[in-house]
Amino acid sequence: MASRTRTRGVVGTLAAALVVAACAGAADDAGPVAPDAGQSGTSAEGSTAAGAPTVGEGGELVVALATQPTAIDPINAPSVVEGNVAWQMFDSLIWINDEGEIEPALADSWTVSDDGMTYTFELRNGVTFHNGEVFDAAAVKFTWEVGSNPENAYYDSFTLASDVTVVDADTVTITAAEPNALFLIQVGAGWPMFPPAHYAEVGLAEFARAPIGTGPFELVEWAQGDRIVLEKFDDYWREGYPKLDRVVFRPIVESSTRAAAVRTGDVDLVQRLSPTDAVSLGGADGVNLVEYANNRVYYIAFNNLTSGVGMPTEDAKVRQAMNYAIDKEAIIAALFEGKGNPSSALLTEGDVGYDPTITPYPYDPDTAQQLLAEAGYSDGFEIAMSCPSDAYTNFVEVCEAVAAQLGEIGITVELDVMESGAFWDLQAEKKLPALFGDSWSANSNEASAYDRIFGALGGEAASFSAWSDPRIDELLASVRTTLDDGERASVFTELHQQLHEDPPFIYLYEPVTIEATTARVVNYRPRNAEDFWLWAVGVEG
Amino acid sequence: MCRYILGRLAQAALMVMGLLVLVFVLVRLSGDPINLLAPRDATPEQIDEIRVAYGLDRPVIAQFGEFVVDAVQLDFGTSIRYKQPVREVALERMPATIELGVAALIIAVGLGIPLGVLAGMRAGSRTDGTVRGVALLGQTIPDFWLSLVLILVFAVNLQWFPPFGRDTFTVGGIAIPDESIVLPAVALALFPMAQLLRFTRSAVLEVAGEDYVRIARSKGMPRRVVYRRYVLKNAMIPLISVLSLQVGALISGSLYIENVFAWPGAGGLLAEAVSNRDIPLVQGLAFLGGLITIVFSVLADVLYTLADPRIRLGVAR
Amino acid sequence: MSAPAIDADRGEVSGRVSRGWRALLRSPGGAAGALVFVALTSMAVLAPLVAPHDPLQQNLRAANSPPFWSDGGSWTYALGTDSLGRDVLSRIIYGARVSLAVAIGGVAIALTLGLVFGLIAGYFGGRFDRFIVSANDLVLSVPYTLLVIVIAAVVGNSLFNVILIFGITDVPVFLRVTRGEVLKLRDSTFIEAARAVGVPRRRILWAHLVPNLVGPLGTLATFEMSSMILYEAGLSFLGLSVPPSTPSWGNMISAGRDSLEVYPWISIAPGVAIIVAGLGLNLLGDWFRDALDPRTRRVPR
Repeated sequence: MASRTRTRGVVGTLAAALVVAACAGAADDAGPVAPDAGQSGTSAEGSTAAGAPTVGEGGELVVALATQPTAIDPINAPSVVEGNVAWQMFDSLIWINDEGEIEPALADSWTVSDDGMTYTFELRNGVTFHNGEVFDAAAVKFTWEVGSNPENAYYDSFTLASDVTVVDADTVTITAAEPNALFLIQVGAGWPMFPPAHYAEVGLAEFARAPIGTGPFELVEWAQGDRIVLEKFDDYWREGYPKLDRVVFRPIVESSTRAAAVRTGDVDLVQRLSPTDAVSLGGADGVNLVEYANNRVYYIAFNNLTSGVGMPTEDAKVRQAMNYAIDKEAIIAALFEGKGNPSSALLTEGDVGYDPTITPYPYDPDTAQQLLAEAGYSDGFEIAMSCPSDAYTNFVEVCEAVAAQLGEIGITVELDVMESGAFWDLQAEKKLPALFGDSWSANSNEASAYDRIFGALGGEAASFSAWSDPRIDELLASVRTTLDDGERASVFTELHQQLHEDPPFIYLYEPVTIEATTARVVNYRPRNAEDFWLWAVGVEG
Repeated sequence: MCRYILGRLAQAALMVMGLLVLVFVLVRLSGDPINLLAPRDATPEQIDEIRVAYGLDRPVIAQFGEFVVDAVQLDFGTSIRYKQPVREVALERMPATIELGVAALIIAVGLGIPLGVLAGMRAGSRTDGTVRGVALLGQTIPDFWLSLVLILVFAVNLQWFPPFGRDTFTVGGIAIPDESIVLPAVALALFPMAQLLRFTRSAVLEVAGEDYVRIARSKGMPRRVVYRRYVLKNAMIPLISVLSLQVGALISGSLYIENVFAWPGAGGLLAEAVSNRDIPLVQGLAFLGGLITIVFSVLADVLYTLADPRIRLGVAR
Repeated sequence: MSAPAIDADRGEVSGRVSRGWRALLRSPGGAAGALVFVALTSMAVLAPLVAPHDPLQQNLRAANSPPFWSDGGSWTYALGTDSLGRDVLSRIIYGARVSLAVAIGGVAIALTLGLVFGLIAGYFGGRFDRFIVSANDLVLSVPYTLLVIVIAAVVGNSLFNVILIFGITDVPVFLRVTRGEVLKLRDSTFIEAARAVGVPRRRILWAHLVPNLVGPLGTLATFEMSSMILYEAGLSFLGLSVPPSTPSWGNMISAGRDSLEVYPWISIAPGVAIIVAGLGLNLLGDWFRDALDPRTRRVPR
């Protein structure tokens, strides 16, 4: 679900060792030394490679938004679309770079107490907010206080901390509410820093519409329905950044219009293109396609808490049969122009502990029927399914295809497509039918991967979960408390196995996200939850 | 005359009241409206607060009374999605829709009336047939479909116009939309143009058959002069009513067209509000839409009365 | 003035009808329109016999195949397939059911209610008239689409709801026309005479008024049917009409809008269907009006 990718704040990307685990395990070790802030995460594929265009100074970038934004501060942004606007204006204590490593941001360095519960951050000097306020420890404490307000959409990332104490102007300690191996990332990268005086003056609602942060760009104008204009913040603490002078966000709800806009160059950066857009833009002049495996898994969920109790789907063989019955490759080929990967579990390739030897269920209707017969349902059965309309690209068609394919092994599916808001509403109340189609995204860090599994399978404890498996509960608890990196990774591997063998879902696919930029855009590096940072991006010409 | 205007205004006020009843009833059609008016993730305490804010805990009559009082001040509560007062959100997006509507009307009038006159003057000829064919197409082509095609052909392929959005240039401190208004205005104008064309044509035919015109012709007055002096002027009066009818069509059309073209108007906002089931916003926009239509129809009636000398002079029609 | 007037009236009507038939066959526009209407209706009624495939039958391997005249197309799927490999031609044929159901159902409701209330308002006048007219004007004052959308958003989408909504929101148009005609006829001499002679009111209504309403209302009905097909498509575009798997022309356009450039037939075919249906009904209406409506006839009585 789009909104949940930002639950713990926007972080991380590619597969990476979790440096934090090393810190958490060792006592009183200093955090990593900041690499030269002038390097913007350039790597082998970086834009400074010989022959590639260099990032020029100045210029304006126009970005198309796929939905109409309603709030643009990071802890109230409803989805990653708004989040991308919001995070250009803010910083957090640490920064996860393109390689997935932790770098200092508003915090120069940090240490952890022996019991791993209290983190002490040394803050960077000379950082100011867009309105001139000074960033200091008091601002951190203030942010925690106002962020914890349940009226904020993502207040729960703030309740991870039980206390924030100002030691002096440049030092602040944050104490975890419970032992949590993932605390540094969740807090350090998840908390945007707010200006106390300004926020106190305008309040939550007003701030969500006109936020002020320490980030590389500041808000100049928001004309509803028309555009959001950000301009370079001259006193930004990263020397030499941002490269751009201006960023303009234009909401374009209609997907084909978005594609047309980047084609004509009226827009420089477009996300969420449809697979057919990729086909038509493929050969177009002046347009670069950006495709990457999105960390989102689409599935059909089973239910053993409410409507699925007593249904044949409680039997693992039935669920395996249903997994065998779906021709994932054909669905991906027909509906996504082949851009996607069949899914084997609720983990994806970038996740820690992902076991590449576990392959997705192949399309095998014979095995499916055999398993059904073994479970005693050789005549099939009837079951109801629902899925959200206009939430995901072509997902309604996917559900229709699934219903038809299940029909071919004798399972009659009654499909109900409902408006997405109502759909998630019902899901939160566990009132959806025994089958429902949905998806969940995660960033490539353990915290996020954990959140995804817990969110979908936490049983009664998790709002949107319709399935409870004691073995999974065990394993999840183990993740929380295992402090050693390698051990934790093997817990995730066990999770992978369990999720595959006793599937609480019919696993479908991980889509390839399709985006496009005009040729003049340099150094655009999206992360695989569709989030991006613009301070290192430039335009040439 | 004055009495007529006052009477018409009173009637309009009644209609506005009726509109409020309609909107009020519509939202309560499916049972407890709290599900429609409160955000989905609202806690039980928040729901209670909202219940009180909308007066849902009071008897229906009291609710309606409060609703009317609020509506007159254009207060329709808080938009679920934008978390801002509906009035603010709606009014901010109004001007863009008005711009687009005016542009579309100009195109519709500029094309529809002359073509209608042409067709009327050459009734029965091939020109007439062709023009009427065009009008027919204008009435049967779905406007959202046309918008997509227009973008494909004129924006992407020919690159004559931008494919989306409202861009402006400033003249004397005022922002005026540039060529970005053309494609959406054309798409929006199609249906009203067709209507105006057909109406003008039959008006011309009707007036042309009147005695005084035939007499003028038989007296030797050149055709063009006859048309200009008598036919057009007299056919134009009922045109006022037809124009006011098009306001409704323009409002309806803007829903789809603003959506496809990313034009930042209230029509696109309504389409979005409906998709998101943001009922307070839908309520407010529906009322505003109805209100505008009523205003224009009153205006048209008054103008009609002023323009038609038979009424003005008190001669029985 | 009794028997001859009534007979003359009836004779007048039937004479008009038979002249109408002949006129229909002579007028190209009218004939074309009638043909379209008949084709539409037959397509809808005989869909299971006419459609080459099951409109819900998916064939993922053959998804997005082009129509037979393009490279890679074949006669198996004459107009190509959509993203789930369903036959576009079959879906258009079955889609006619939705469009026609909405058009005919909606118009039937609107015409019946509009006729009844229009008669009451026009014939009985007085308080009834004023009340009905005000209510009518009120519903008319809200832009049609707005009303339809608001209602659909609140009560949810299903074919039945759509027909009901369209029917009720279109009543004012039929009501206004009926009332207008009744007002004109009420004061005409032969009605006056019938009343003077003592013909019961009900008989006047049925034998005299209603037959004269056939023309204007029939004309209006065909135009409104064309509009309803268009509006249903618009509702589908916003996802407020029938559920996505049910084939409807509006649904099909909506589903194909993302691939307009790459697989244009998915959106264009239903778009053309809508236009042709609309054109046909409009032509039929035009002819209907010219032939049966005494007001626009130029032939002197």
